Amino acid sequence: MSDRAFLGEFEQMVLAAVLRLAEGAYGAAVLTEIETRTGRRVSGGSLYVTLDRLEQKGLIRTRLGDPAPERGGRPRRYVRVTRRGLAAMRDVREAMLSLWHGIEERLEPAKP
Amino acid sequence: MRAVPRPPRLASWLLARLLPPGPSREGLLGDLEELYVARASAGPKRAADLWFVREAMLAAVRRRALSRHRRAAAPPPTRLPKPGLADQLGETGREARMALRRLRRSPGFAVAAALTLTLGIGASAAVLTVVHGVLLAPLPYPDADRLVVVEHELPGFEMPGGRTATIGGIYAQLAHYLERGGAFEELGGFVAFDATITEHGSPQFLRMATATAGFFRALGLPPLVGRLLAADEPSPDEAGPSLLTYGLWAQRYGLDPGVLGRVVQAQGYANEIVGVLPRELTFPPQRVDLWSSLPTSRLHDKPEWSLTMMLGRLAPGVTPERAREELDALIAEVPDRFGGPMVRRVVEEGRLRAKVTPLRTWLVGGVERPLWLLLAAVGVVLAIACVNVTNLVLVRTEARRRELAVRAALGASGGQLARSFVADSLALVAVSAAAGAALAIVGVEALLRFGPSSLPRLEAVESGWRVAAFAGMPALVCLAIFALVPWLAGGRSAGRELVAGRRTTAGRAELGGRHLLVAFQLAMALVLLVGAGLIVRSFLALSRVDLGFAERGALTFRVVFPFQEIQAAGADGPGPATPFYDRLAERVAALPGVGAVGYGSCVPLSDACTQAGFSLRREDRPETADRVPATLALRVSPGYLEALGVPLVRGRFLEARDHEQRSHAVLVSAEAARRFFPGEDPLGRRLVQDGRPEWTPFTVVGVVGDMHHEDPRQARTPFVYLPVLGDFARYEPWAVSYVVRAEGSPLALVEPIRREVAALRPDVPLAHVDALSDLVARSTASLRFALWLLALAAASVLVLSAIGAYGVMAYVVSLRRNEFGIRLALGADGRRLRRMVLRQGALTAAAGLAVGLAGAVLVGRLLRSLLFGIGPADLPTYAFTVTGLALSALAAVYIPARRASRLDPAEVLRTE
Repeated sequence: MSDRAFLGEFEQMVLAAVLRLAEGAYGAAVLTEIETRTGRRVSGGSLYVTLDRLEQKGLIRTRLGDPAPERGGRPRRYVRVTRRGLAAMRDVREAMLSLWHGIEERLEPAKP
Repeated sequence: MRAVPRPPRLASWLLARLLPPGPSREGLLGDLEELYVARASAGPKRAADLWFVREAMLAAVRRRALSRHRRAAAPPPTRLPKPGLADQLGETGREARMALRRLRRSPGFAVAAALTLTLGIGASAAVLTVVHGVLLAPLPYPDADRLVVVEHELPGFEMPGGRTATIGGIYAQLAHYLERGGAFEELGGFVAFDATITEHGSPQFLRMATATAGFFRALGLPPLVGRLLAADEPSPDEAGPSLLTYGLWAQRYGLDPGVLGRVVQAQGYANEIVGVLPRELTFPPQRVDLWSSLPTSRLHDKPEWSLTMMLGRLAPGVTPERAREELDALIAEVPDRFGGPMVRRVVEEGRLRAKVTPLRTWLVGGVERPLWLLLAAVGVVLAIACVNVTNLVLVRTEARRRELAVRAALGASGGQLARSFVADSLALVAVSAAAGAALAIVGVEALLRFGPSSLPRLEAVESGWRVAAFAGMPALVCLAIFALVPWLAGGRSAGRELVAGRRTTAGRAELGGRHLLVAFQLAMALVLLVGAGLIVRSFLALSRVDLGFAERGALTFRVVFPFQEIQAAGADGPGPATPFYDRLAERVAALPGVGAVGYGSCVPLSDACTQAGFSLRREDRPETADRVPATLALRVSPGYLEALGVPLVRGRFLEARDHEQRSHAVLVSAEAARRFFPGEDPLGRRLVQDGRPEWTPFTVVGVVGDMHHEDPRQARTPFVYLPVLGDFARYEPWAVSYVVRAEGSPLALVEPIRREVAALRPDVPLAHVDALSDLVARSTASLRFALWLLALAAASVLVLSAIGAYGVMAYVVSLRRNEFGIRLALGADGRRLRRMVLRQGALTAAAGLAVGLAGAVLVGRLLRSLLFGIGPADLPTYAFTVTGLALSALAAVYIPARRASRLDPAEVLRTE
């Protein structure tokens, strides 16, 4: 295992959402996906900061799509996870699974 | 189908400006809008709006974290993103610094431009300050628009030069107006005269006035200390109360508030000080120092006495015109009510009519037009200065073409390039404005100190640092011009040209524009020069006017005898004053270096001369004509006219025996002889005073030369020189002016004379001591001052326009260097080239001069009232100025023309 820095919590969420959305992964969709699935309110600003950071780290690649009229003539920013990004997600999954292994019982809500 | 909901405009606009450009921004903004639409469609709009604003704020806060200028994998955008607000501010600062650096690198340009602008801005600011103070600043009285001056005209009395006699009014009128008038809320009048105060032993000459209580009430200013005068308080000769003006209070009493209750010995009468007037009361122009009461009873006792001035406050809603009508109606009632032949004479024969003028107009009306003209002149200087600097700036813009083109290609927007012009302009104007403001402050100081003191409302002219504020307007005008013109001329197209790869040679339109500027400059310069020339020639003509007396080598002074002694001595016996005057004349005549000496009621061209109430006619001709020739009657002692140097034309001068024996011998001036006795010999003829048959008739014993008494520009007034004493005067004159002819320097006699006066009467002060030549000079002071200013303006304009013409021609030639180089290389004759350039320059100059000529003719007409001795179409002035300007323009054009013909074609083509 390499000593790459691990992904932050929000970064994981974003990458996961992007992977889930596959071809349809763009800013607003990712935001909505995270909000619906986790119930966590996400602001556009924080999402974009994270996207920029992820792109800088080389874990995702973004591209601008065509302008759309319902967006005030602005293009969508589509997101795609790179190989490095996938690798990073795998690392996180392994780390988490390994740590979380065996504590499911503790996590169950207390039985009456 | 419902319209697509839009997010709050302000929030989205602000966010768009704050975020750094890049794909992040585009994506974020688009996402936010998409999400907004979803929310607004699914729920209440207000909630969606709130959500959007919150998102926008959060994003704005994070904007630094959003990466800038990220290269997107997408193809480059077709439109460059706009810079954010923060970027723009930083840009301007950078531009300003770069502008200053650019200025430093071309010191020649910077100095030339800054000096020119400083001159223009400074002069404009100074004149604006003066115009504002004199013409625009509000008067210091409450509700000053309702204050009016009431004067009366006497069209029935013929005056020389076709003027109409104007008086303040007579007592009878004021009494009647006060009782019956309704147009005025307050009305008052006063009489001003020379006086002496003699407390503490040291006598002081001052101007005193008695005023009705309504006068102060009309002005509406509260006293600084104590109280004002109430109605009908006793007059000074009845030991009445008096008010000090601020000036007198400061000068004689040291601003001591304990001055109330003290007694001032004025004219020999004891008057108690009951108040001090505020500083703002520098009106009227009579320069009164001490005020006393003129009770209404006195108005009734002496109905035919004259007031110096009447002043009133119109009732609300009453116009001056309506007031005038009412007064005219009241005038008709005066003779019946007050009776008396003098009153009747003034009202009926004089055809007295009222004239109501707003106070402000009365104060500044005479200088309004010259001041606006001065402002126009200085505006011309500023315009020419701006044009010159614009040319300089345009030249620099050319030099910056490359830089600007590159910047445009790199994506600088029109706005950014414009900002660089603004920064350039700002740097230049800021420096010049500061220097110009300093120049203006100095200029206004100089004006207040050395300028004509007769300029009204000088006290309202700001001085000191406040003058700098007036530099703001000209500076802003310059700023706008310099930023706009180069931008319009070429900045916009610079980018396109470089991108298109075209060689930058001068376009037709641009060259034409430059020539137009030069022509415009020359036109304005000509207008100003012609105006200045006309005024100069007027002044020269004025100074050549023969005043009728010998102004050099004479001294004048005035003495005031305590009136109380004169009055106490009674009306019919010999009084104490005349012996004193005669004795003084004898002793002064005995001083070494003194020629003739005499005294009279006043001296020509001085303030002391007011119209005496005489109207004489021939004894042998009864009243026939409607118009009675009005003359100025002076009471003079023997020696007065000789001391003045007035020549004797016929007969003899007055002699001592006339004076002692009261022979009623009089002298008439040549003009008076012409009017009273046309074609006849006046010697031995008799004159009588209208309405006074009981007076001994006057006998003419001599005719003397004409004299200019008032403004040298007016036609000659007919004079009658009466003796000092006679039954026509109830009292001796209590103030007389002496004229002393000196063999050496007149001013050297001042001290010896002062000693003589003090030796005879230590309580009589010496006043208005002047060399006669200084008195004369003061009367033309305003004109001379205007002359200096115009000469200054004209000189600057001449220099500036020559520089401007040179600059533009040099620039035009430099623009066409390529073309000339090619032509020369192809074998063109250098001389022909030079002639071509000269011809172009000459054409431009001719066009400018032609337009200027037309403008000058118009201006000449405006100046007509200021001119003397010449008409507005004075040929020598035009010839001189046109020739001068044309020569200087041609000289300015010749140098670059020569340079064009000397170009080395090889070098020209190489360096391009």
